[in-house]
Amino acid sequence: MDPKDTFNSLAEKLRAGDSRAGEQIFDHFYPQIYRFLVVRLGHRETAQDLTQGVFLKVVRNIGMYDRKSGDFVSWIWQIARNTMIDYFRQKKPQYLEDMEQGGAAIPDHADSLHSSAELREVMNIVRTLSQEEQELFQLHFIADMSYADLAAITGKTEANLRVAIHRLRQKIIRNHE
Amino acid sequence: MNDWNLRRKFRGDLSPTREETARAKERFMSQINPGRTPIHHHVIKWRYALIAGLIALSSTVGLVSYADQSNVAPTHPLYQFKRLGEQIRLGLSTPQKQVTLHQQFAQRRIREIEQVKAASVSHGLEMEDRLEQDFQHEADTTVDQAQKLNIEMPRRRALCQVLLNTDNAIRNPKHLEHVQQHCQPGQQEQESEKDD
Repeated sequence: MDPKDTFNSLAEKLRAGDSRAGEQIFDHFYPQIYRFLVVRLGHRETAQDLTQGVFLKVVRNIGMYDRKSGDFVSWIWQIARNTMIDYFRQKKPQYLEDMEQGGAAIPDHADSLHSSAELREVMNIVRTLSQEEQELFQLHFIADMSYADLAAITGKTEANLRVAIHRLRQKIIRNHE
Repeated sequence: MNDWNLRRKFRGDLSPTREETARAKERFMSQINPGRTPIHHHVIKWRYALIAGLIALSSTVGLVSYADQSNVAPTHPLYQFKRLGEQIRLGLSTPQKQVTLHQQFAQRRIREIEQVKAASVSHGLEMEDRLEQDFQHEADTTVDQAQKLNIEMPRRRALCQVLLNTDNAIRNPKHLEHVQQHCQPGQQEQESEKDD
């Protein structure tokens, strides 16, 4: 079964009140969304609160989820993005610049999150990339999303994504040398 | 730069802690089933400890009860449970009932000495000595408490007679004397016996 269909089925079960389905969804998406948010916000506690907020919204809105309108993977990631944008709006003075960039830029203070010099160096290179590339990097390398999940949320084919990520990697390696 | 390695390093650096994840998951699950109350890990630990305690307690009670009812021999692995059962029975009894129990336990010790002799175990002599001391303690306590509680003479004599009838009690003259002395009627009792 296609992973997208697996999550669509789990979402339908969750809508029917199946807590085991909810548990599977949580186990898969919680670490991914947390990592995605922590790198965007550069702050663990805030990322934790927002990730929890994402899952509360999932429970509240699961009744509105309809697989005919789209895959659950895109649906939950849309909630994650909207949650982050709402947060930036509320914190407008501090994050004005972030919001102008659609919240995709990695803040400078996010450097403190990385324990190794290598990761800090990689992140510095990523900051110089385009917004689209940065987001792709965050989703694939940091949130650790599979090509199938990436395809679901970006609307691109897996083959296109493989090419894009390969180019992205080459770019980082060139800058790293 | 290896793709998989880089992802692994970011995963290690940026993942939520287990505690954070567990707390978030509990909240999420309680939202799915509002009736479900969050289960805290320390509560789970205490529950396990309580269950383990109850199992240990019921096992001990079962073993004590079995050892006491079966009147196991001193060479039996459950013998200490039998002795524990005796202490519990004494603790739960009235002073009057305790006198009878001490007398019963004294008789038990005599039978146990015979059992040890019959079993001819390597440390049999040590066991016999210990059991004889225990017998004397039980017999002495029987007569001492009977006197202290002013138990009527006929019953006290009956208790003494049971103790004196045992070979082992008679074997130790000092002990025999002690039992006899305590089983003699006091001044008041002699006078009341004369009146009768």
